[in-house]
Amino acid sequence: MLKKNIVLNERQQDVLREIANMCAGNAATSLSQLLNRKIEMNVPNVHLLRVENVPDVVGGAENLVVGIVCQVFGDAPGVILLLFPQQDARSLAGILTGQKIKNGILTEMDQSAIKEAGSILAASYLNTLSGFTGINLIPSTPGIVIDMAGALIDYILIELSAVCEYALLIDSKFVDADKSVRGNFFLLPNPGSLETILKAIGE
Amino acid sequence: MSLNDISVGMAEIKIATAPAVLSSLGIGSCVGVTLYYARLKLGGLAHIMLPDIEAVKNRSNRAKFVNTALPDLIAKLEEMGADRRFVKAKIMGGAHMFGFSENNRIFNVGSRNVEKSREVLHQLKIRIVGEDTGGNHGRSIYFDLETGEVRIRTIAHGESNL
Repeated sequence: MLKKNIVLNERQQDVLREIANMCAGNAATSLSQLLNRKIEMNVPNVHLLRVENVPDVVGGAENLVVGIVCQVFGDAPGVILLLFPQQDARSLAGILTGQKIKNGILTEMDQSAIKEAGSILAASYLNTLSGFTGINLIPSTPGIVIDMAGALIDYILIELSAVCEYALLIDSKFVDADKSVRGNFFLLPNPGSLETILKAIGE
Repeated sequence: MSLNDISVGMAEIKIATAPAVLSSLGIGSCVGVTLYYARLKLGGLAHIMLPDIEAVKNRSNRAKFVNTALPDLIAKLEEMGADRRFVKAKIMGGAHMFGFSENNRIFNVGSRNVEKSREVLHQLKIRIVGEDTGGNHGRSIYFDLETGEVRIRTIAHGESNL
């Protein structure tokens, strides 16, 4: 369990960031292939912070976002969360479905397309992480939630907050070439999973 | 956001008097409980995450749990001169997200938060005058100490006053 006194040292943070960078890179490549356009991911940030401060990192608790949530099963369970501003989710859906971008709500078809993209990103990310650590990791089918960012985080973290005070958040931003699709990719290992990952990489 | 706005984050309790507005943005399964003492235009907002402090090991933040946050909140208001016989409570939040946590024991944290809030307020002999709870959507709440009214904003269900 992730206890209060656990602090990641700088080396561990670097290693996590480096691994996350490779995972995010491969995930970006998969998404590029799907969309047939260049997708860039920045070097990820690793945050270890109090559960109640996570909404601040996500930015603007009241902002309307489209969230794709995958549970991670296997030896290091956790949650993967993808956040898109609503306009960017529409653009993404437009690219995927080949339909003109509408200003209304996301249709069933749009949502399904976005979920598919999320699923590919998550699978690709976890594949790389699995390959690198030898830890078995499997994503669930994705769910989609369209709501305030704060509420979304709240749903996901509330269970975690019962067993643990701190959350580890690995955050990558990604953006396509003409900046019409920007999103945030978060990996939130459950308490215990962080140790599993660190142990697997010999830290 | 005006100068009078005071933001209350997850697992925080704040009290204030008019003309302040206490707000919590993007409440999901958490609950926001407001207590208002009209005579002094004094009130407080607790943004609570979990129902029961007895159920967890780490108890460092009492504002995180219904059964510690609410007694603490009323105690603070009484220190400031509130008389609990005339204090009015409102409960907001306690939503749950469909499609994600099926078969999951956390599925009903939202409704357990709401039930526990009712139970604790009842024990504290504080009258509940309004509720906007449940559903599967997030809420932002703005508690105006001038009137005691709570404005509730949602994405898909518009705005309402409680």
